[in-house]
Amino acid sequence: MALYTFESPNSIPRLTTKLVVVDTSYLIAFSNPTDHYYQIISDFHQKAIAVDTSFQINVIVRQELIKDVRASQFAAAMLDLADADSALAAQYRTWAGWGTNTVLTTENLKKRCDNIYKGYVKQNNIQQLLNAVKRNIWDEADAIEKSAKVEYVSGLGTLSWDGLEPIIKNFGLSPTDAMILNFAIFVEADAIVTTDADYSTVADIIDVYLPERIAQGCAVYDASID
Amino acid sequence: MEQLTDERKAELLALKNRIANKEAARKIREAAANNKAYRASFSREAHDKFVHSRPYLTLLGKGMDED
Repeated sequence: MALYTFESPNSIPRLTTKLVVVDTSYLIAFSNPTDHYYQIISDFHQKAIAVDTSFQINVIVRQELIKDVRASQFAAAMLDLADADSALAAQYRTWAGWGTNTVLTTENLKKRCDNIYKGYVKQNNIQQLLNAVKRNIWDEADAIEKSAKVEYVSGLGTLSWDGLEPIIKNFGLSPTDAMILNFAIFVEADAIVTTDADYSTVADIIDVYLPERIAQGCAVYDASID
Repeated sequence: MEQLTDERKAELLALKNRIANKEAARKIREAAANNKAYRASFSREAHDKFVHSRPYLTLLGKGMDED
């Protein structure tokens, strides 16, 4: 088991017909054309699909993707509403805990969208926000999965949870990352694909694939075997 | 009927989970093997077009390695 890179010419032959578990960061980067790693992942993904690599997601990745899509769509809707109503913009700053001079952007609204959403709920006015959302959130997350041809087998969510404690204790991963690793171990996946350097700590028990720039910053990366 | 000790209950639960996991792992691998046609329908051009038509996905516009 080792840490490898998407850019290595050996990666595609190694992953031919293999089962790979997808981390949320990979899927989100592959959903955003302005992401720094979009092109690298797009190149890798196309070549891997061509040699029948199977990209599997679990219930945790699906949930995180939906949350990201939800936050992005709410942020876009919130900015539209705030631009049209300065009183509402001031209300957003209060709900978000910002000062009166904070400039509203989609980026900062995305980070505090749950606070603002709860503000709407407390005012019993959530329909105003929902009406401003342009697309169906569930349909969009589902469409991203289908467009990338990642696979989700339903009814196996429990695999992410069983026996999780030793994973967290041994590897120091966040709970969600630990659930993704746990799932990969249970289904005996051949590798995890990610843009999150935290997974480098588990490269001795499962192959981990990262963008080269990130891998080079990891102590366990050995370019000579990549 | 004999009462099960807590230790025995835990062993049985662990065994049950291991069997369930094996079955689940087999299901995942079977699904992967059967989904060749689904994967073969992947088109990089179609995916690029899809994500470019979703401007809300590009709100952050940065990589994830900062996490």
